[in-house]
Amino acid sequence: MLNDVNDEYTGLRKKLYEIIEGPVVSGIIQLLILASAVAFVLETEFTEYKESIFDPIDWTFLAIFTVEYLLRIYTAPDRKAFIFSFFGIVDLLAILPALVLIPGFQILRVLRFLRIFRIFKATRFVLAVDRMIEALAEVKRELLALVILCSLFVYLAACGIYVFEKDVQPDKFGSIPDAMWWAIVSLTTIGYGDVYPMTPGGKIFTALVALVGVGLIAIPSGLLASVLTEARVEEKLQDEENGEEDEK
Amino acid sequence: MKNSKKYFLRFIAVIFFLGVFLFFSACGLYLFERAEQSKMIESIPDAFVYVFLTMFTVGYSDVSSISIGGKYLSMIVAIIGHLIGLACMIGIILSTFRLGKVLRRIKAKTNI
Repeated sequence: MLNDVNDEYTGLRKKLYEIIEGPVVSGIIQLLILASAVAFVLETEFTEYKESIFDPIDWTFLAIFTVEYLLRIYTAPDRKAFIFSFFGIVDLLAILPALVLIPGFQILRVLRFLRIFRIFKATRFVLAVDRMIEALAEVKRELLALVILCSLFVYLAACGIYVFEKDVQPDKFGSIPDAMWWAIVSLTTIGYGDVYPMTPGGKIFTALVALVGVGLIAIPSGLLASVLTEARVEEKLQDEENGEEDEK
Repeated sequence: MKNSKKYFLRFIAVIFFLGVFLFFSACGLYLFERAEQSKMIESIPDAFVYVFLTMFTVGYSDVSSISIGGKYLSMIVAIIGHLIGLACMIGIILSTFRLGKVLRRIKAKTNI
């Protein structure tokens, strides 16, 4: 019964499918995607070589990826399912902007590198990551609450500094969104130093906000870290119950 | 699959995500700054340095003329950097140090 569906699916197509989905071709394609990412980055640095070196390289990559996409459609057991699957759409997005030749959309070439996520189709990656994702999903609510709390704090800090600084530095603290930039940069401890308070009141306020806020903003990180540790302990206990002896 | 191998792969996966995120943010930032004709970020490698310094909250002020879009992007990068970059990496590494102790404590409790 099952064979009815696949009865045309034999011979050349099947062989090609196995080759394309096999580890060798997949590995080569991943390398090519990486190489094309490197070329894309370097192109913006060495603009003088754009036409002599980078454009031909780009066309070559495009040709390879187009051929690969067509082959994947040709060999897929269920063509419709492949075209509308996540990776099918990503593959199409990767070649579409260049194929339709809209000059302004050249930057959309960046979509090509979404294909690098294909690497996660490898089963060992899936096995390694899925418990981690499960653990992260467990703390969704706590995380959301913390994010709301942090946003509120950022908002209050921005409003506060706006009151103190708007008269002295109207160009930098002229509006609350501008002040929010200062708040985020300070509270994540980045501190670019392009915007800083100058009035005594603003300085004292900054000190207070930094003391409370840096800890507050770090709580989500701590939560994630602890949940990952918990997940690992649980896994280890489970493994020992199953009598698996590994990791000494 | 061996546990140690699993954790190594997990670590690789996080670094991989960070790398891809870094790449896309750098491209986005370059796009914003190019539109503003900024002199500070003229190529994607420049944007890489900026995004990297933002993500790991170093924040040297050598690049400071950032467009509005770039500013919002840096906020997102800073927050994601905090969450993925610090939390996940610290969580995975930290669990290696704490695992033995926590397990021993749990076992001691359950045996009594």
